[in-house]
Amino acid sequence: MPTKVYADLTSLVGKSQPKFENPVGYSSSASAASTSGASSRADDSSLRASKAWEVAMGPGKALPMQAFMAWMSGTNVSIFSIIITGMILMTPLKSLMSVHQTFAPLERVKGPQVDLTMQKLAFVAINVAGILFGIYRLSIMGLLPTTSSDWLAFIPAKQYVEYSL
Amino acid sequence: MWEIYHAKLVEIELMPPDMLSSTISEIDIDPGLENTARFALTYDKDSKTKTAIVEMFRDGDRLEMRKVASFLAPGRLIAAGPEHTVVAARSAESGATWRIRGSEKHSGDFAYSRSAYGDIERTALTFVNGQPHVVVQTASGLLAALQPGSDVPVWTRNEALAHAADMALLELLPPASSAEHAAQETDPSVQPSAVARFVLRWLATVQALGSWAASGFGIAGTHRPALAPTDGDHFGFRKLAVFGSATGAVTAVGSQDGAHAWSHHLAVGRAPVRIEHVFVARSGHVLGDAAPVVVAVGRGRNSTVVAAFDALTGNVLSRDVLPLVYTRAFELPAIDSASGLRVLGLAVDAPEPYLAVWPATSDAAHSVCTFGSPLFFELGDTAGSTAVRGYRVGCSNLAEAQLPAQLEWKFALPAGETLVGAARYENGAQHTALQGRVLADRSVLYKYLNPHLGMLATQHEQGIGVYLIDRVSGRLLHSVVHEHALVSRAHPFLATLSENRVIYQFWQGLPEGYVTAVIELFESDRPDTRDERTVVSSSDLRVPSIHSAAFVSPGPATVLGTTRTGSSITTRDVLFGLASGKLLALPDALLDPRRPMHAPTKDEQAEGLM
Repeated sequence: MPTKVYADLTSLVGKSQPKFENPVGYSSSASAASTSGASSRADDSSLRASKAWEVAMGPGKALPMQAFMAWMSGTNVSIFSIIITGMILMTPLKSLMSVHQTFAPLERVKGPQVDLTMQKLAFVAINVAGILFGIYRLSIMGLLPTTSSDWLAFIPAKQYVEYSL
Repeated sequence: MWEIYHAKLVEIELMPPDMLSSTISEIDIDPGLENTARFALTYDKDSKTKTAIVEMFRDGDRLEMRKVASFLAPGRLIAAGPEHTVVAARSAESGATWRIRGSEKHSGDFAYSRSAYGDIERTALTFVNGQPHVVVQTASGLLAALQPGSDVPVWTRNEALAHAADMALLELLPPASSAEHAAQETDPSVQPSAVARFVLRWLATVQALGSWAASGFGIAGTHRPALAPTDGDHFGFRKLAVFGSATGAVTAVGSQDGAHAWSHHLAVGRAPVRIEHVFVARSGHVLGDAAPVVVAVGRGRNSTVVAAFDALTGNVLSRDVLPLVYTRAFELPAIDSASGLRVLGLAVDAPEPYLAVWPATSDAAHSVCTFGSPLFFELGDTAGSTAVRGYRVGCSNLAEAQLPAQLEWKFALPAGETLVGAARYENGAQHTALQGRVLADRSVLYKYLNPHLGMLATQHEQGIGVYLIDRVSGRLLHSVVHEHALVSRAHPFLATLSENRVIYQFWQGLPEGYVTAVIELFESDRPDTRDERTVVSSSDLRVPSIHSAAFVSPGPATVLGTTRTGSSITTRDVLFGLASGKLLALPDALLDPRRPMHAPTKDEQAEGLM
């Protein structure tokens, strides 16, 4: 004897579907508007802008970790401290060289241009802060030629006018 | 035992008859004879110089003289042996002849170079295994033992260096490689054709390759010929040391092993010249250039002898006897264009101070005058003087090569003080590449580098006074007194100057004993403060700031010196020549006035103070 089911859904195929009501809060006009038109583009650029802000702030998150590594490497000039300091200096420099490439995928070429100037400026400022921190580490280690003993080799010898025999 | 007779009696009454009309020039007394008195009389008769050996003997109540032997030309001293033999040796042109009187068969010739070693001064007779040996000593210190019947001496020993007074070190050229030889032979001036030069150089290279292959490809030990003392090496270790001695000997030895290169004996007539200075007048730098020349300056009797030698062969190039008595001799910063030699200056003190120039030509004097800076020197810095005078060389009287000296300053010592020592920079010790001392906090104490710095040491009742003066202006820069210190012949005062330091040693008296003191001069006592001028005149000097310390020396030194470096970059050591014959080099970190008296702190350790 076949099992009795309450609803035989296979019989729904081909039949006209009964009219269901829309869920609560659903407006059919809103979904139609988001797939086309100026409103979708506005959402897109704001997303890109906020994504660009994340990219710009990215190095800032690495700075505290670099600072901690620098503190652990100490002030003596040794291979580890030189490697850390080199890394602190070179990473922001490389990032500064490639600002354009970093933000290029976020700037749409066709379609509306997103103005990412503020983000780029923030990116540059954070990288410059990283470089300044690297220079500060160099000065702590005594590698910056800031004292007179660093220029001692360039002092000219005095010339005496007379000659003594 | 012989009594001493009146000389006049001997001369008139006892002289052998044929000697009565002669003029005796020398008498040598024979030492060591027991029963007979013998003399060697050198006399002139009939315009010939003869030497006669006469013997005095008692004949009853009379005293007689008998001629034992005589020969032509002056002989030298006589020695005696147990058989009453007499030895006389006389110098000939190419050497000397000697004979033992009493047994005619004992005579011989000793061939040596009279120009190199001088005349025979002394002889002595010894007996070795019953055989008489005659030991002769020449004027410049060559000793030789001769035996009869043989022209070859038993041994010779050159003791000319025992009285060495000054030395000059000559840089030797490295041996020219085959490439350099080929380049010289194919110089454009010799071989104008470029193709021929190219072919000749290739041929020389192929030849060198062939000889290298023939010698076993360099595997079976390199065949290196033994180097002569006048051959240099590529690193400059081998130098030629030319010594001038107080006996008139100029000797050149190789610095690597002391091998003898050449000798020469300087004498005026028979009196040896007392050599006091040896200078390098020309150093041979380039292959094929003129030979290097050394010049020896010495004192004769009321004269000055200046002799120039070819430094590699020892040939005399020139020998001048100047009728003046010099006080100081130094090199002048000028080259004589005629001879290519460095011009020397002889400072004459009396009656009026002036500077005599050698070579004594007006061209040499003119080259001295055209030197850019005015020349200054000082006189009176000898032991026992009470005032030091500074002179400036003038520029007139060029024809006679005697430049006038104008008195610029006079440093009169306080009453009761006499000069016991003076020092100035020697051997380029005033040059240094590092202008300051770097402290622990990377600041700099700038050194006071004055090439005219001079030091005077005086002795007075309370002790020793040390004065630092500027030798051009006479200005006193610093003075210090060491109480209860003493300078005497047994405790000489030694000093040396090195960069910005003055190091000296003296006897402080018990309980300290010998003390080595160091004075270090800086431009200012505050770091990073310096004299910004680049051109300085001694008339406008700043007074230096002084750091000084004294250390107890474990023993006496006989001489003090400083090392010499090629570019003045390496730090200099202080050299002590000890009385035991050894040389001690102390690094300048030990003789540092800023050394702490406590355990060094971290900063002091960073500076290198101990």
